[in-house]
Amino acid sequence: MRKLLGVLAVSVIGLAASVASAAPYGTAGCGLGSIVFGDDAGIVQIFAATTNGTFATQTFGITSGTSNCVDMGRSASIDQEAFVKMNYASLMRDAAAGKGEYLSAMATLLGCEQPAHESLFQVAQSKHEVIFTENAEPVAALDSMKAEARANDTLKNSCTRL
Amino acid sequence: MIALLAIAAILATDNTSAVADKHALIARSRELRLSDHREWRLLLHTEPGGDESDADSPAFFFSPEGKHDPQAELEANIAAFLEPLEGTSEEALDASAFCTFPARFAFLDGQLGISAHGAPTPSCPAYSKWRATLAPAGVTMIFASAFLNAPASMFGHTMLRVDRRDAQGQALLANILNFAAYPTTTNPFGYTLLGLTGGFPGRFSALPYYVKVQEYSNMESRDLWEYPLALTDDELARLLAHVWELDQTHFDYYFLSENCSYHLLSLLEVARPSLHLREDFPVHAIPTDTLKTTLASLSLRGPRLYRASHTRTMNARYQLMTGDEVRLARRLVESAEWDPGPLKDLAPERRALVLDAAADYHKFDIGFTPNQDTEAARPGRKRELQLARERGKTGADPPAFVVEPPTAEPEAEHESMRFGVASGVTSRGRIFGEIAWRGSLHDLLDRPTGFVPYSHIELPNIVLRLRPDRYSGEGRDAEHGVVLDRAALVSITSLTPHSGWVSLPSWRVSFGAERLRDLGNCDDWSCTAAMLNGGIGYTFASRFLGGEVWYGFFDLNVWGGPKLHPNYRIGPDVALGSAMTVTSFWQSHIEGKLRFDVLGDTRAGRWVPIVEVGQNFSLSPNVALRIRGSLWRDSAESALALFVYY
Repeated sequence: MRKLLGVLAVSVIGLAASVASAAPYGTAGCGLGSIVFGDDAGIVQIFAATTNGTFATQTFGITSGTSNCVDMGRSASIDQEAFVKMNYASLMRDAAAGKGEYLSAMATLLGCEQPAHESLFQVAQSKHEVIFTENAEPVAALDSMKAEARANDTLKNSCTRL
Repeated sequence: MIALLAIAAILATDNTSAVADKHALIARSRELRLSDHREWRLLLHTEPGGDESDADSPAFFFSPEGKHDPQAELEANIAAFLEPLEGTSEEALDASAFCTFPARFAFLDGQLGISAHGAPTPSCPAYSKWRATLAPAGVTMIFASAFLNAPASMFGHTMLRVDRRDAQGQALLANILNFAAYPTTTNPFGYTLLGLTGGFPGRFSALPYYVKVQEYSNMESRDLWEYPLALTDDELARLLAHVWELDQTHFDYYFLSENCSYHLLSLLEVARPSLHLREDFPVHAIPTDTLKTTLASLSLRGPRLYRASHTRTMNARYQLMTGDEVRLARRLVESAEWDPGPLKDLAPERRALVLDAAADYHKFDIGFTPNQDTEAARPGRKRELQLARERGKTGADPPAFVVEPPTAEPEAEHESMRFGVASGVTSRGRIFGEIAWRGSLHDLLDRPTGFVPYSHIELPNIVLRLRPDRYSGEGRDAEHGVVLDRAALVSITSLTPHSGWVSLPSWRVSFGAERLRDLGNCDDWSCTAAMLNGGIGYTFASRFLGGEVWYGFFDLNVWGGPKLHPNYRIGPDVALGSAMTVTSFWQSHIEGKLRFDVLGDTRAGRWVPIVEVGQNFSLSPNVALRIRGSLWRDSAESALALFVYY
């Protein structure tokens, strides 16, 4: 009886754990000096392991996953690149609609003053086909969005990080 | 030569005076009993009421005795802060005590004035850069609703977000201070064991909120609640200075007690040392409870915000569409050939709505993996682009709508532990009593306010059965006057109603021990058996009776116990049931089950019908009355219970 209980306990816990530990990502601390963005491999690692929220990889409900640390000094536009990589689809949808939370955040990351946000939205919407192309890499879309913004007189002067 | 001597003399005096300063400061710290000061204790993370620090890295302490001796550590800190700098390179500055432990320095400077006694205060390149990156304007506590499909996420999750000064109102760009365990094994047994016993190191990290929104809102379909906390500028500065110090250490991670929620509370205590938040959680820290404690102690600087999950938004759009529009949206996503032609029949606003809904559904369908240009991902990405471009062509906004939360805010939940007493009668006329205790959290009949609708999670739930008649009279049998009725170590039911777009399976599992009710009115200790059961099913929601769910399950049950011959029994069952919110204070649940015992002891009859009914009335958020009745093939019982949540 006691033995049986033990066997049952171990099998249930094992079952639960095997679900929980499907993909242990994150092997070392990042250190706070860098902001964790996740490099390509890291992002793929977190997201590939999940399918439509059926059984997620989240480990004990606490790990956030990426231990992919990016030194803020590595590239001037690292925060823009990370944002576009992680949110490409949302940004593409917002740009088509000419508004949205992700597009606003993009405007801020491009250093646009608040009054110029609307102009950026218009550019993103009207130049959608140039910026978001089939099989485009997110960073390429970022570059062409910046190029389109630079070609706009209002944005050229009011966005500091183009 | 004279000049050299003079310099040597000055250096000597300097040295002597520095040593004198150090001794004077240490003496002063003893006089003031500074190492007993609450702020110092908080900065060292000593447990409430003890001397031992929760921090587990030697680099966090200057004294070799620092983990256990707050006074020794304080003296070693004074000495370290008074040390002259070892150079002016960025590395040397960053490695200085001043730049590594800014909150401790601020505390000792405030109490003893150590900067006036020669403690260097250089610029700190790494710390300054970090502060600039965060651009702190305030902190927001984030609660991610429970996610029953991952064992570790069933109780919800709390995070602390540092809002940006330079991006007001743009939460996505703010950063999360995250305490996370870094698992060192992939072996599931080791993983569980180490997770519970502090075998993994936990560390703080910072990452953008949009990463968390992807993870929780999109991938896991969890709603997020945001509570902007009212902290003063000084409190915010102290919190961040201290988080920076924590870069020097890890904390052994205990899933139940020293988990992320516990450590977030310790940060808020550092910010405002007069708060005593962690003392409420000596044994375990359930995220909702820590949220309640926080909200009871700190006010908000702005309104509470609700961020609906991707799935919830998707379903809200579904509700706005007509049947034809739904079919069109589905066809736009699922058809092999891209054909937006039929959209022309719709007004531009309806077109925008259909395309938004289709894009939601498409994203859910292909998953939230950030775009990678792989062969397999291309068709999905192409359709995504086609939908977005078509949406752009509408030139219109869809009808405005608000996604309502499915339930009240999480802090409105009933308390997480439950104690109950009950009295009942069996079909043979025996009176019995019950004493019940549940460690956490919620069942289908408890007041649902704040919880994931139709969720059930019990960890553990123990019910003792009292037979007062056995203490007296003819059949006197005091040994069996109290027996174990149920002890569910784990019991989880996840009913996910069909949502229109998609249908996820419902499932349930429970494990523990129970009295074998179907062997007649068997109620002595030998009737207790170990049990494991689990099943998969389907749920749909309806409004026939005012808002209820109907479900069907196919389960497998396994028992092992001395009363069974042989010692086990295995049988599948088919169950049908319904759970209903009759009014806000009245919950109802009924389930009928037909079990077919196939292996082991089949004396209960090959086919065993079972019916269970329960009605729960909440007298107040934390008090409830419950009536339940159960019917087995050859016995029945009913009982009235009083529950108190605490």
